[in-house]
Amino acid sequence: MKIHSTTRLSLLSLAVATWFLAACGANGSGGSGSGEPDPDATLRIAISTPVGDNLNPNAFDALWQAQAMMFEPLVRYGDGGKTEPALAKSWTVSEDGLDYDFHLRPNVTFTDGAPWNAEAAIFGLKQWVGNSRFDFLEATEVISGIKALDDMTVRLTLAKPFPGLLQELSIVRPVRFFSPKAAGPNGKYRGDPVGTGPFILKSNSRSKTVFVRNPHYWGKEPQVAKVELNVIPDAMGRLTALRVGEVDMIGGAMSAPLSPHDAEQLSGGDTRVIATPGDISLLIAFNDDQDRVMHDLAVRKAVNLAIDRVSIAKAIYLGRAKPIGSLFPAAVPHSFAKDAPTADPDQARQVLEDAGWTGDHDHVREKDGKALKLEMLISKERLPAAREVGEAIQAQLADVGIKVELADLDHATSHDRIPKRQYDMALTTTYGAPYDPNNTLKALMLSTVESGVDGKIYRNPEFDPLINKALAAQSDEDRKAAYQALNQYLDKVQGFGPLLVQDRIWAVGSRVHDVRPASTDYEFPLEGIWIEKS
Amino acid sequence: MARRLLTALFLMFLGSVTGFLLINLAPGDVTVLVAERRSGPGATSEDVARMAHELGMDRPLPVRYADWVWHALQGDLGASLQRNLPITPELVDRAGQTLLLVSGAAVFAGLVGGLLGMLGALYPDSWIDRIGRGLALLGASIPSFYLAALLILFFGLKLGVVPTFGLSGPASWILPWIALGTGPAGVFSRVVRVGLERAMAEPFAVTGFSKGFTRRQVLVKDALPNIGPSVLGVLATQTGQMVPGAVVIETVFAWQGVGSYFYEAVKFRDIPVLQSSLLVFLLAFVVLNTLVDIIQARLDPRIRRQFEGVAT
Repeated sequence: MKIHSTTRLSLLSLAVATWFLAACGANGSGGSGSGEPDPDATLRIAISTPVGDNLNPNAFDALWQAQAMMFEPLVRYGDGGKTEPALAKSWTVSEDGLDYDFHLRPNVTFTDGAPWNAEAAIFGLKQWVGNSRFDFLEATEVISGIKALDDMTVRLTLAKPFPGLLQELSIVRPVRFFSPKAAGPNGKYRGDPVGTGPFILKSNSRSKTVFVRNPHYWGKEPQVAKVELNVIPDAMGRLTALRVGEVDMIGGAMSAPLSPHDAEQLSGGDTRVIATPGDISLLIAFNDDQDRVMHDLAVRKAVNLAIDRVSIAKAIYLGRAKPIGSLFPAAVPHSFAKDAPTADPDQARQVLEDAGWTGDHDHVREKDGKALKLEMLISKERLPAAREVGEAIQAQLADVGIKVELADLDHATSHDRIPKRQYDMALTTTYGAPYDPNNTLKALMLSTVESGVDGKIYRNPEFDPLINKALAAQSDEDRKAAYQALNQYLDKVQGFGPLLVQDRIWAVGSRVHDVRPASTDYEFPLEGIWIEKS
Repeated sequence: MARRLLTALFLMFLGSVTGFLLINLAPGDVTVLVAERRSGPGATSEDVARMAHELGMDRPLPVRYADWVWHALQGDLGASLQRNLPITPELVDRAGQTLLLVSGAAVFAGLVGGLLGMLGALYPDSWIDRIGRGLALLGASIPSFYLAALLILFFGLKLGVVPTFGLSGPASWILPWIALGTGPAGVFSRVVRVGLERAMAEPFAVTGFSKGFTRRQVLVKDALPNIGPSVLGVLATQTGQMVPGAVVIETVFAWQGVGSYFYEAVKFRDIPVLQSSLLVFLLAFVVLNTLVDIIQARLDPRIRRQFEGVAT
């Protein structure tokens, strides 16, 4: 008896402690600033995993955002996919689309003093052009010649026209430039991350990476003197660190995703949440192979009709996502974006009924003795809200007589099963800016390209010519027509289930100002950011 | 003694085989991830097959285990799949933080648990005994990650007296020590409390009372030395269990020890790192227990005789 009363006492005190702490969680500490920028300020960002030791801009080891702070491309991916000048101040394209002349930006130096000129540009390009390791980039294959026209002009000659070239040249890796002086005797990266970018690496460890402002930066000089990247693996730890003021900024889909629920918790305190429309689409890949239930067009159609995208965006993403009805959102070039269709369970039932999938209400439908069961792969590691989204879809499809079994897999297992096509549906995403639309179409939809770990969103040899046509289209008019045809085809075959596009979410302390999310998720929103004097 | 060491070696072998099998027989293929990591998105099946061959993952399991043990015995634990860096120096580098965490937490558990247990035994059924019992139950049943979150919220966010993450001097050590040490402290206090109570009823204690010694005198002079070696063993076992507990605590407090190395490796399924950090956990457990057995045998003639009995 005594034990029982002790247990009760313990549980009660635990509950009280939890309540008390939850109540005090609402008010955080924060400084009230002077309103003036502090030129000596340090911006502290929380990231979930260490930056990595190998910052080589031609390798795939380090955190993208850290590489992008130091290494720059010839051209930059601007808002909405507009190509903007970077280390090339301008460029011209020959009429046949085969010669690209880049006029390099004058008076730019690498942070070790090496000059930026045609020699340095060619040195950088040769690190990756023609290297089959990087053949996910079309550019590695189509660039057939690199030469200097003069000291500040470089010509790239293509084997065949490739209108996506400039966009590929804007990505983070492996196309950016490091100082030729920082190369080893073999002409490769030696280990010192020397670029032309706005920041210089000062120290790099497993728990913290520090950058300082590049005082000789050619562009607009950063308004913070230092940027510190602090490794905090735990999502709650990052929230608390921001509230306490131990870090100034958290978030970023590719560095330390801030879930809409966590963002909701932050509003009302001394912190601000900044959300802007994103460009990575959340989709359901359909496996319509011959032996699968999804081979039946009616099933694919019914799934798309039954899913209520609006309520998923509202309930699970708390409105910080936009439902979509197409492969890409409007922010992606040539997207032919469509709004999400309204859910119509009645019509979904009718479509199934007409196709011979029959069953009573509340029961799994059947056809020729085969039950309408679908296995759906989700991976929480890849997508924090995967389970919630999966369960919502499970419930919505059950309502029309489709039974969905969820398989929550870790990264290694899902990367094993998806390429082997052991699934009916799989929750997946497009690559997003600056890779889309080309890379998603090429790697995740073209049946002739082996996509390995990521599998396919939709695969059908019949669809390939339409993709190839869109990728190769020269004039704006041709491109538009090709993309339109492509989207119409996907609509007709119901090749996948579009769901939504999540916002880019960042949260900052009250002293941080002018946070403008970058045009891609692969870079930190550092441009123009400043911190108030305290 | 020699027999004890042999048992330890056998335990290490058994543990490492089990760990190896569990890690390697799990469904899924990490080589795909490695291939992507090393050559960019969209690795082909040839890339993957080549990578599997390079990593030696295409060999039969017993061969891989033997190869791994052979190299591990020479101090070479291989290279991380995720980062392609040698594991041994990184483990050695990280071990310091884990040692700081676990030893601090063990001292905390020993002091707090010991004190609560002793006070309880000194004043049985008093309010202090009851509070001690309640705290022990609470401490032993609260999950460490939850306690860590509560501690961070209160001391870090509300009071703002200690940093909420990272390793930046003694102030940042306190919360992780408490978070990791509270569970073992709860268990330990009960062991001390119950052990003392039992010892206080033994004939030698009764003799002490009859001579006119106070309860405190008998407890400190007779009962405590009597149960000392066995409760020391419990504390050592608890400490051994704290080493894998560091996986959670290091992650929550953003420390970079062996535990967080393990956590990172789990996410990527970095097989060599998983095997190596499991080996560290295992080693810590076996070494601690063996040491305690030996020390106990030195301190406690009863246990020594038991050992000798087994040996003959």
